[in-house]
Amino acid sequence: MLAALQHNWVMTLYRADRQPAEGLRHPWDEVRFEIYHASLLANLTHALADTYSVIEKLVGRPFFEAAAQLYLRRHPSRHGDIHAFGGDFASFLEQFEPAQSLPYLPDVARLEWLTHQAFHAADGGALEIGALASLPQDQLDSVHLNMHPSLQLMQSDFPVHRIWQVNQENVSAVSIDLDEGGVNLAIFRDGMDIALMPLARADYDFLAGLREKSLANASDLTLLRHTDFDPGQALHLVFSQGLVVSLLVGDVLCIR
Amino acid sequence: MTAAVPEISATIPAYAGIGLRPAHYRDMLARRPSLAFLEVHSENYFGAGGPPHAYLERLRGDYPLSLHGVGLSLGSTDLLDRTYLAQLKTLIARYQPERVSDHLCWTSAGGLHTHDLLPLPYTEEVVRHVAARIRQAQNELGRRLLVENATSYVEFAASEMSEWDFVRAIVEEADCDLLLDVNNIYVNAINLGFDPLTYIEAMPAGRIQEIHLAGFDHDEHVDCLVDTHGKPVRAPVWDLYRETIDRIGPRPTLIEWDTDIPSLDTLLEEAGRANTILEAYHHARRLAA
Repeated sequence: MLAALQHNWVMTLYRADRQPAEGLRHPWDEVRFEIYHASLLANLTHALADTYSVIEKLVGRPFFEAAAQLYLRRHPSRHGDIHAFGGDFASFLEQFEPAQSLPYLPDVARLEWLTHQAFHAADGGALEIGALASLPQDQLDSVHLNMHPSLQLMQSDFPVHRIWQVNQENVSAVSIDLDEGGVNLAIFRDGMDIALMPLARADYDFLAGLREKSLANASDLTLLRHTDFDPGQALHLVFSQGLVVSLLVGDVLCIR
Repeated sequence: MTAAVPEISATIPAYAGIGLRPAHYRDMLARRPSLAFLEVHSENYFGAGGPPHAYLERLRGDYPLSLHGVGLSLGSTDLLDRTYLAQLKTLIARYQPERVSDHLCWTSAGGLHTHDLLPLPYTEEVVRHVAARIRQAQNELGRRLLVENATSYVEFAASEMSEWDFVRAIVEEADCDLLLDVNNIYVNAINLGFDPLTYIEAMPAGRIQEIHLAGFDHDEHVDCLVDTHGKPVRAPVWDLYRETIDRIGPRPTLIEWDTDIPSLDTLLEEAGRANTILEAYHHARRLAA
């Protein structure tokens, strides 16, 4: 009995026609059921707006609410933790007809989802570059750099980092030239804040390589693709931003 | 805070606490106001790191802590969510909270989550189901849970007992503790038409380990009080709270405010009002002694 009732309630709440669910006692209970419809919409729209605050600023509240309503019915929440809701919003916006005139919108949403992940990711202390310099040559050839858990990488054909930055609180509006081109972006937590770091294509490939390969392999592969790549400079950048939390030499983990 | 002899808990004084919200992190660190405890929504700390944990870890040493969940879905007919339980267990291990609570409600079915605290029909079958789920959750988590009485804006045709008989039967059968939300009782009493004192007098006082107070709104469209947690505690709820304390004695009491979050000072004023009522109880007892 209870299972059937609960399935009916959830299906009713996620439908757009805002009808009352089954099992109610009085006629006025059917009127009051509207409170639950309103609550679901408000809670999930609020959660989405929390994660996608830049999208909301870009399109305005009414547009955002309309998009959120359609999104939550197509991609209902599947976890008891509301922070896990909204991961498909970027791909939803790609298909969302009214958003077609704003081609950069899906990438901004993608960036916001990654900043959301970076915000809640595990902590990790930064390692100094000196830790690497102290390794003997044979270990340097095989060492892996473990990157900060908050590090996310993303490429876009639009200057999404600039769009994101001018839409943060306490930033006065400036215009952005969409023709200034795309960006290769590292996203990570810097203290309590989110940092967005535009990277040269070679440095971006290097960072992407470091996540899977040894330092030597990542460096060699990047040099094959970018003859002007400077591994020393790139390493300095990676360490100075606090992005390396430990070294893995063979099976041995070296931390601070 | 003198002569604070906690009636039940040795770990949280029977005075007022507030919910810790990100908007107040910095203010709380700078001021460290005198409070009996802090409460957080467990799910806001399910992430592995970042600012939420950085602030909570700094404050945790100065305050007893209550983890209050909204997503355990104790009344659901789905299987208990293993991922959610694992995250909650990790959080409990990390902070060793004095209280862990969730609601006597359901929030999900068929794997879909509503993130709303939905009501249950009051039947023997549902009592057995929910009590078994609470026992299972307590076993999995390795500790006692407090469950909170929820609001219901509707009545089920299938209900065969009063809400207070339902709540009492579940906490007795589950052998868990009770988080008594006085505002929810008032809201339900007005919306559904019963005497809130009948409800409170039916509660097993020995199991009440915490009280919640919050503000409600009036939805004129459906002519209903709605538990929005976005307003100061209303006068009749303060009265009902005083009546509750007179009957069961002082308990750790949370000022809940989750939407349109006000300044920290406003929250502290509300906590001060609760403390005045708790102090009056102690004072009256001292006079009687």
